[in-house]
Amino acid sequence: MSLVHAELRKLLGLPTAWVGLVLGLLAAPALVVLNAPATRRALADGIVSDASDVGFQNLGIGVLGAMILGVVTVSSEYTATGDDTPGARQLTATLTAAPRRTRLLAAKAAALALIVAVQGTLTAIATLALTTHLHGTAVPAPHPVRIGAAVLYWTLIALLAYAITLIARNGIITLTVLIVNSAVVSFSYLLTKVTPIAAYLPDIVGAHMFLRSIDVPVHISPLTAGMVMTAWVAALLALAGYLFHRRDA
Amino acid sequence: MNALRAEIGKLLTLPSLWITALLTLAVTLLLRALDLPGSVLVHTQAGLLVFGVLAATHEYQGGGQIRTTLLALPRRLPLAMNKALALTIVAAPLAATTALLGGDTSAALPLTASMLLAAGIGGLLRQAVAGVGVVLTAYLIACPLLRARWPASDPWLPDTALLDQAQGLPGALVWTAATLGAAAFALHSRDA
Repeated sequence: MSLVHAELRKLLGLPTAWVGLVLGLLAAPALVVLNAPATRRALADGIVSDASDVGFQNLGIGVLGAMILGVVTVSSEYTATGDDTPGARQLTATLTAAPRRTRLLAAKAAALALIVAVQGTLTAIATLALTTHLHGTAVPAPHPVRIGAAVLYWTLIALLAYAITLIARNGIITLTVLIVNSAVVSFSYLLTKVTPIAAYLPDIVGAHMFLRSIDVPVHISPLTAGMVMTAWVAALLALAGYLFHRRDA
Repeated sequence: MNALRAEIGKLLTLPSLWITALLTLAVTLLLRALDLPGSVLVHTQAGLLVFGVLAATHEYQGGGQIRTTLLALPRRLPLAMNKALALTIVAAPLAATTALLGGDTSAALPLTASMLLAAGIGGLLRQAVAGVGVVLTAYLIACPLLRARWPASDPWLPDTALLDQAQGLPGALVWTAATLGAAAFALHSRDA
């Protein structure tokens, strides 16, 4: 328990983590406000295929903040502590204090999941409340289970970023892969145009948990989506745990 | 002349830059082979942007190579100019090759400009991960969103040049010059 507490304080003490926290909190509600006129027109014209998706769609982009949190949880440990000591990293101090590596990883993951879940819940509530406020009855009231699914998606994406960064031990690779994939025309989404199997890539399959009108060639139910994404994250976390256990720090 | 050669040498001997360049070219080829809808360069420009950021930030990573560089070349504005020139010389062929593999040779100039812009951001932030985060978010998320919301902003966004050169190239060049200028000024006025 004290390990989780320590990891929480370490994460919340990082300025970059606060960038991720604030960005994640503000991006989705800001998008709702920015897109409000266009959304209102689309709703009036009846070209929105599923009106219940309207608020949730913005959460898919706000997840960038959760990704940054997942990356800095790990990359902060691997950054050199000072210009004159390029070999000294916080990780060595962390491992001196908590030598059992699997427990350390579990504590880090728990701290990250906790913070991102709180962030995701607050963002989802703010985003959906704003959507209801701006569009009124044109958008059906959000179902609590779908809000829970959206928060789960945020948490899983953060853990995915955490696992990839642990494997690569480099924040640049994770950030590049994940940002390219959360771009407006996501790369995974384009791949689904080439092969339907790409619909089961972790980021795009996860969105099925809380979005209904994703244009992919296969139909995936929310429950299947949640299980496939959880399996992806669990597999990557297991690989990351194995490598972290075996490699020199 | 020596200073320029030294900067080119530093860029050409960095493993991280070679890895980034080769990965970018490989992914471009792979995506071309998959026959994705739309230009593959919109995606693979991410690799070139990372290249630009790394080229500018590598001297600030652990060890602080920048201080050795400044010991050898204390005049900071000429140093900034040499760095920009060296990166242009290294980046232009890479951008051209990527554009060729991506199937749109006219994209070489906008891609080079984007790499220099990324280097400017890297020089301002002096932190590779932060630089990559900012540049990629701007190019792949913020700019497309702005374009969708306010189509009139099109000529002023730095990434328009890749999609429509006549429309976006002047804007992209202004962005690049402004960022490089700001980075040079920061190098001039900040403690290293």
